[in-house]
Amino acid sequence: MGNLSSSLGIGLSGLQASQEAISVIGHNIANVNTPDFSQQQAVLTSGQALNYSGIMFGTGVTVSSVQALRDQFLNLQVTQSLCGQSGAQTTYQGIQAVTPAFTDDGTTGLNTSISNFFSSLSTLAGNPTSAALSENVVGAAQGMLQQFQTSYQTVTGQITSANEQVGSLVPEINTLTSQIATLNTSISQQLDPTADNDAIDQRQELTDQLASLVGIQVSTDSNNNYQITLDSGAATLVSGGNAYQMVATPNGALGNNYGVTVVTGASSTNVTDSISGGQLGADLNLRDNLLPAYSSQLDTIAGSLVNQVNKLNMAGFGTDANGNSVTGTPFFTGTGIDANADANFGYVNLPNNALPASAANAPIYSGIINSLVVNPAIVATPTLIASASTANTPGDNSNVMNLANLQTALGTVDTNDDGTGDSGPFSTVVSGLINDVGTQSQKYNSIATNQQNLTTALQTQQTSVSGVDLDQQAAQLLQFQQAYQASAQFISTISQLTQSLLTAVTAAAAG
Amino acid sequence: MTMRVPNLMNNNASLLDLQRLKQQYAETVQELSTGQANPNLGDNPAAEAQVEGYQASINVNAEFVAQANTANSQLQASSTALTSMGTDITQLLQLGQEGLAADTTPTTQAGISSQVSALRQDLIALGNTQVQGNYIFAGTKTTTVPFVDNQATTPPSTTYNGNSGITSLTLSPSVNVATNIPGDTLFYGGTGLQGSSSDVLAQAAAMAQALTTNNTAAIQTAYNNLQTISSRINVSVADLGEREDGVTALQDGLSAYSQNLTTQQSSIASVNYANAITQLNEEGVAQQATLSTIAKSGQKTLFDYIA
Repeated sequence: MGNLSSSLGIGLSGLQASQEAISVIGHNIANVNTPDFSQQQAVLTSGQALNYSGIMFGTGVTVSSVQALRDQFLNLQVTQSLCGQSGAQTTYQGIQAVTPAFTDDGTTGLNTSISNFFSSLSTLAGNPTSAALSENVVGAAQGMLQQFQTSYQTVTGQITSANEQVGSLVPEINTLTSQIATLNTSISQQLDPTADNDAIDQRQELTDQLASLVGIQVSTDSNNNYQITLDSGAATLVSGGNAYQMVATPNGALGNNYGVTVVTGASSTNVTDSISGGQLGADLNLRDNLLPAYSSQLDTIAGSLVNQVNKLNMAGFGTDANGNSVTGTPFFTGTGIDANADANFGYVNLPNNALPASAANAPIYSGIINSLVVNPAIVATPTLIASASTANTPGDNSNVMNLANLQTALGTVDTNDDGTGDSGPFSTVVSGLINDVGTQSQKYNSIATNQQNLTTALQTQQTSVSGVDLDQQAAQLLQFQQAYQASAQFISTISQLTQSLLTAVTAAAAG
Repeated sequence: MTMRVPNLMNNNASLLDLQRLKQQYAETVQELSTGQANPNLGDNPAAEAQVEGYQASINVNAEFVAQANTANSQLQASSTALTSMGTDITQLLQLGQEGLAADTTPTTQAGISSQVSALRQDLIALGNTQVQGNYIFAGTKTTTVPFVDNQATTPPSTTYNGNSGITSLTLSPSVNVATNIPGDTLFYGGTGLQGSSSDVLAQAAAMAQALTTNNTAAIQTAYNNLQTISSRINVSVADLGEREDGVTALQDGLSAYSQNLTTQQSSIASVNYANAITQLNEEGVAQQATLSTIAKSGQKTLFDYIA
């Protein structure tokens, strides 16, 4: 049977339980804005009943645990979604950064500069002996090359930037994986591996940050450790308390760009081609696939244009400073161009009279834009532009008309790398490239927006499950305040009863 | 089922909405300030490709228009020279008639001969007409003086230093227009016909010589040949005129086409101001409403009512 003393214990357990529950509420309120914090609640359990002569008497209340409101499946969905979102955003930003290089407003731009060049040739055809018009052609050609080079350098600059990002992201990833591994150890060493709610939340926050940086897959083992692998499964980043370091080192096969490996003990795994998500995956994709495709197309267009113009200019006749008729003058020069190597084409290493293949098949093309200049001899003597088809006929404009007509000629660019010209006019090929850039920009913007919507929706659900609701906390605070006050009143009552009993006993003894 | 709505939830969703609205607003402002419907490459790639296509066509067409202008100016220069040439030949024929008249005295014939010689010189000068430093009747050897007079021979003769090259300009993908008449064709009647009956300069020299010697038969022969030549020149004048008319008609067509292309391009590339301004107003209102909502939501919690 319960006595006054045990009643005091019951009152005390109520005080303690309310106090602990209020402490949990305070913790919740303090973390109302903490990312990935899951609202906690004290789990109250009535004390074990005691048997007095077959009658079971309760012994009060205890806080048996502090539980977090958490949906692990939803958390992992958010992690995956963040990975997709950051990857799409990084890709969009990378493409968006090069779009100015392809924008053509009708006064500047690739197509405009090409058009200006051919227009200057067309004008020269009206008066092929004019030194002023010849100089105008030289100026337009230089302007066109500058436009090509500016566009090219914008793209290659962005490739360099993406590569630098790869180098700077790897240490960040390593820091996060180390922290997650440390938290894994801390969590799994608890008697109840699910008990350390704050460490679990903190680990989730770090995992979300990691997912933004690199595509990962997350699973949980029986000790509540996070096992984290790359999304391709090519390498493990975290296993229990072990974090496996990523290393970024310049790789000759990648043009001295960073290659990425994961070091597992004594061995290391090259994962450069196996990373497809997060910022790192996006930067690698930008660096190795998307942006090089643009620079490669620029090389192909510029190389084909130079080749076609050189071919005609070398076949025609211009006039030197002494008034002599001169043939065989390449219009453009640069690395990989040898005027004497092939009478028909201005390039060395080209297949027999075939149009040059693009960068993929002919390394000679790669980066050719940077070395291109208008032949210094033509810059010095613009009348070397071969207007005439026959010698000593300075008024003959047939060759310069052929040059001008290249603008609308078909088959001037080899677009499918088979060594044969198969394109529409240059303007169509350039428009195709511009359209590619625009379409990909739009595509990744759309993906990023959709991923952001998905992430927000998932985070809203996550917040709905785990977020701290201040109204709820206030209500619970009132509830436990009242319980605390009631327990205190109960103890006070027991105290008075005890006092009354003691007074009665003292009086009886005195009487 | 009632959904829990913790404090962060509304804030995050509302902030994302606000962010989107601000982005849309900024895009509309950019459209209005640039006047372009799609100021960024990724806004509407399909439209951008169309605009690029139109721009390429406009540029090529502008070149054709410029070529047509050049062709016309060159044809006009030749036409002017040919008209003067025709006038000279007409005067030669008149002088020939005067020389053939029965009452002509030797003194008069000497005077007529001098006039014929002067007209011949004038014709040679016309043959050496220069436009922008180029000899327009030298074929494609436009920097070489085409006709050189040789007074040492009797009668005086000329040497043609040009060639029979034709220059032409492309005025459309399917139209090439010859913009010159080679001097030998015009003055000699063809390549290798120098000194023949179709050589206007030789016939003028022969007439002057015949007038000096009062050789009526020779005057008559030169006269007859000059009449034939006159007809040939008239045909050339008519030919040039037809070419000019053709080029002018083409110019008109090209200009109209340019206008059409520009209109088509503008309909895609240019912003619709009325729509954009309406949209800007709507986005402004939506932005204000969102701001107001964010400011009001979550202002009070139960804590505010706990004494």
